[in-house]
Amino acid sequence: MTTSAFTMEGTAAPAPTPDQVRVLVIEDDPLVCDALCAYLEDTGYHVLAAADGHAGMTLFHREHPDIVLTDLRLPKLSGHQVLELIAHATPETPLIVVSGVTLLNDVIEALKHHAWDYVLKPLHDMAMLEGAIQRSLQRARLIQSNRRIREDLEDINRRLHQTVERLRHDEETGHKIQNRLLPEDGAHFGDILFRRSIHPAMYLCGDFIDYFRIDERHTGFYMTDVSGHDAASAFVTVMLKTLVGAYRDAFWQRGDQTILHPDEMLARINEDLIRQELGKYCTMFYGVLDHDRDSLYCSSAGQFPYPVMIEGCETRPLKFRSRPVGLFPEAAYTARELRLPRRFQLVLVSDGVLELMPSDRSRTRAQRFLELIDPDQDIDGLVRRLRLDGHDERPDDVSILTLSRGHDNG
Amino acid sequence: MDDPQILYSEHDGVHFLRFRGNILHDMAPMLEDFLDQLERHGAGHNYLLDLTETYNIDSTMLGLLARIANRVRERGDAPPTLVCSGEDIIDLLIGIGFDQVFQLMACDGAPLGEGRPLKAGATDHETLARTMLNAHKELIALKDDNRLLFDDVIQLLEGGLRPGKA
Repeated sequence: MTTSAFTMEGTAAPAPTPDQVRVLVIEDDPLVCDALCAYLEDTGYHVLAAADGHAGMTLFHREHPDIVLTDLRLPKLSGHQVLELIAHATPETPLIVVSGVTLLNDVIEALKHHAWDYVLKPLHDMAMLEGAIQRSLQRARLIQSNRRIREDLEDINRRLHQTVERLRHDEETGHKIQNRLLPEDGAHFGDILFRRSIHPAMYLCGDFIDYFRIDERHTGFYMTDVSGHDAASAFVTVMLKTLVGAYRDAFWQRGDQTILHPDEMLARINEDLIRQELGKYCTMFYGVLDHDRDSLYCSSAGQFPYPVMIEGCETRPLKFRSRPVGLFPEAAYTARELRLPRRFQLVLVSDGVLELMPSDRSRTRAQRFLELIDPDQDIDGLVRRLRLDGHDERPDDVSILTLSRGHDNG
Repeated sequence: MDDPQILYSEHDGVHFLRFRGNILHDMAPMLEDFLDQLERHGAGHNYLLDLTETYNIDSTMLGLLARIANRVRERGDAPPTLVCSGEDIIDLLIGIGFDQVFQLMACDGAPLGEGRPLKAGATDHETLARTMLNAHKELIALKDDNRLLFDDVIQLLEGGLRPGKA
């Protein structure tokens, strides 16, 4: 039992002095009773005395003594019955049998049931009695102390359970909110299809994906991976969505061009994050589709593994060497323009995918990821190949964003 | 696999940190405390980070390494040196632009990423990096005494940092 570790002398309350202890003596032999009471009173105990079992029980219920000494052969109610009644009413009250040598079998029977200890009459050595009382009182203290510790532990356990439940509920709510902030899977902007698939390691996710119309000619999108995958990381993803939204509003309201320029966007977000002093940073890939020029204007902030462009049966990583946002005040970002092939698929994954790749000396995990991509399959195929469709635990969040045209086979 | 481990030593005014195994975010609070202590005890020291035995490192821990680079740069010192050998780790570090804020090197001192090659007439930065790398090699070469030269960061935190070791 868990509380057994606490059954040590040190954990119990200090031993009471005799004047703090009330002893009930139930003994029908007036000589023995007087001798017992006289000795106990001399030692300093408060003593209550009864001459039969019935009177003993009445005193017990009225006075609530700390310890009971009882003879076994008693008028009206036997000692065995007294023991049973008291043990049933208050199991923590120490019960000591005071009995004649000739009744040894009865004593053993009493010890088997409710008695804690015994002393034999005639009482030659009163110190034996004192020893039995002290041992029983000590045992009672330990039992009480154990019970309190067990109750405390049960209480702590209950509160812990409630807290965990509340946290789980909070996380589930957060998870739902985060899901609602994600764009619809399978949205079309012009003839470009956007698909996304997000697989959090826990309830909340440090990865985030968004795509949105900027104006008739432009569509913006980004993938971000905030360091860590705790609640704080999830807050930062929400903040990033708000930030990007603010730049889009600035374009709509004041014609601020930042939202159209990926390098400037990343530089501004870098400044914004550093200014907030959140101790969080993120990798980010931001792109703008120009539907008139049929091109992709994009920039990367430490997005790794590199985005992969699939054209025909060819897969090609888009290598950007750049620093994450939120870490280095002096970081600069460059944008590049890609003409979009007639048929293509652009695949972006967060770095959690690398932890799903086996690693050996022959190839890096990033290379293994490249090899895993089947040019003929869409995002659902990739999810299956990465075995993300199960509910297995993952070490890190994994998210996938694809943009495609003329690539609708599953 | 062995438990991940971060080891520390101090030599000629340089903080050496070795990262072994799978370095993940659960070690972040400990490393953060330790780095704060280092900044108090060994102010002005430069850093050499050894990731040659790092199997994997996550974004949270990379963030802490970046903070080292920032602190050193804020003092106006040469970029700290980061030694690495695994292709995965090299790919990752270059992918997030660490070659622009650290002196990124292979075990033999060859520069990685966009770091300029070390040659005759090298700048002070490069000389310093080379010196640090040599000191690091010496430390590692003393195999029998390695345990004494490098202390587990957790033990150092528990026992209180003893400056001026090794």
